[in-house]
Amino acid sequence: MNPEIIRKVVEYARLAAAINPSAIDSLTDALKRWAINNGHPPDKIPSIREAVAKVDLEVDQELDAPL
Amino acid sequence: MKKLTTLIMVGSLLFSGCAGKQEPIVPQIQLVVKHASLTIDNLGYTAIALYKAEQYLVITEGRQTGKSVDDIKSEIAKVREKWEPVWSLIEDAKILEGSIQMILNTDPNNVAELIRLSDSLLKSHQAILKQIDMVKK
Repeated sequence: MNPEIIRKVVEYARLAAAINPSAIDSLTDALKRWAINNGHPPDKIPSIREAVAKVDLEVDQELDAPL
Repeated sequence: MKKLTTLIMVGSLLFSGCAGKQEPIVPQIQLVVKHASLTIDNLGYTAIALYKAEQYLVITEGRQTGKSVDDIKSEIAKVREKWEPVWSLIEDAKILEGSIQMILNTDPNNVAELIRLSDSLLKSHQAILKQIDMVKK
């Protein structure tokens, strides 16, 4: 399963949980079970430090790229 | 910003409406923590987008004005240093969120601690917003 789709589903699950607090656990558990059963463990949502490191790497590559 | 306002409203409702009642407070704190999780993530995404845009701006302006790569790198290093407190605050907020979740799972009747931590969490959101506002270009 595409990690981006998993992230989106988790995002929707969280939104649903804002309306019905008990929804998030069942939705995310169902998603995880589905993904694991299909051989695709859910991709971890990156921490803020991982996101920062990714941006820094991208910027460094851009700066070092020939014009 | 709208999400933060909602979060504060939920938090205020929680703190004002539940004095003396222990049972109903747990699902409400769970709701606050879930709102908080969304808000922290959204603040993080916004901050990352601004952080990235600012660095690309330094590169673009530097190239347009003929600056050396070393000079551009030095300016980018300053941008990164400037944003560092934002990442620390977001990490602290995530730790607080995790602490509340842990108490909800292990000691849900510890209402005083839950309220204290939830209050800190709301304050930490305000601090993140303030910090982003301070550092953004």
